[in-house]
Amino acid sequence: MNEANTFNIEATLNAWLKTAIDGLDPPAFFSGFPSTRFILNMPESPINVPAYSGHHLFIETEDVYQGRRGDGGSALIYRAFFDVSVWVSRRNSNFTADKRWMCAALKDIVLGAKSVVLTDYLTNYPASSAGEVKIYIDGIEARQTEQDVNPDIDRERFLILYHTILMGD
Amino acid sequence: MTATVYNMREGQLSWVSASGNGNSFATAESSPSGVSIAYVRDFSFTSAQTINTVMNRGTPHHHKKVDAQPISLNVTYGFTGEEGIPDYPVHLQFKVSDGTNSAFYVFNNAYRSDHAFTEAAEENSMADTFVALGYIAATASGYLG
Repeated sequence: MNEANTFNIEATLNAWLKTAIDGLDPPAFFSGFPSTRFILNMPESPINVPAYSGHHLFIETEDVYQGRRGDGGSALIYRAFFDVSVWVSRRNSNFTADKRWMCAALKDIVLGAKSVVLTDYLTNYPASSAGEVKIYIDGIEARQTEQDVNPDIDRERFLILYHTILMGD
Repeated sequence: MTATVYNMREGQLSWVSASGNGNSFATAESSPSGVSIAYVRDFSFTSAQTINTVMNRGTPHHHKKVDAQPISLNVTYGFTGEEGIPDYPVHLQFKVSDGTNSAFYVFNNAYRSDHAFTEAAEENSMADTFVALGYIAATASGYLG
């Protein structure tokens, strides 16, 4: 399988966002993150708020190149959403400020990443190597959410739009 | 035999430095230097000639070919920063294949007459125009695979 497969694409973005979120420096008023700031496998992995979560939503491929031919293999343009949510607890009297800062920090992370270089996690894991394919971060948009079944939980949901080249050997 | 229509996903454009003189492929038959152009968005070619109608007492009588234009090829491809083959002239080969049947168009001794770069939000592109002396088509086998 070519390094530019969807497993590597999604794993690369997971690692990129986890590193960025772990590197955030919250302001003085912020109530503080638990040990895990970014949760990937909800709901199997429990969520301790305040925290971010992520899922990948595949949109489409585009078959636009003659012979489906990329550099050294077949190529499709691949578009998907990285569905990222912000979770806070209403019990925290500061939760609205916390939430607004977390949303601003997420947008700042997206703003600072024009592209992310793909990492090949299928070869020599975990000492993975940087690949040659770029994942382009196209932007971020908000999505309305329903009130959580737990009245303590408040949530903001965003979709990070990205595209890259899905390659085959 | 029933012929089917080919489309873009079955095409492949390759080029190689012209190694022979005139219209011949001197070494290209086994040449490893044939480069398939990647990320091709558009490809077209035009073959044109001038035909004059000769009249006989005011009535069309026969046609006479009086001029043949060089073959014009246009290709637009995504810009990767790699230029490919710098030596001109080149031979180009357009192959269409559905995996079972193939057709080849071979364009001889082409020079690149236009090289146009466009920057865009999602994909930079290069548009090349080639002028070839002539072409051989459509054949069942090609030179560049």
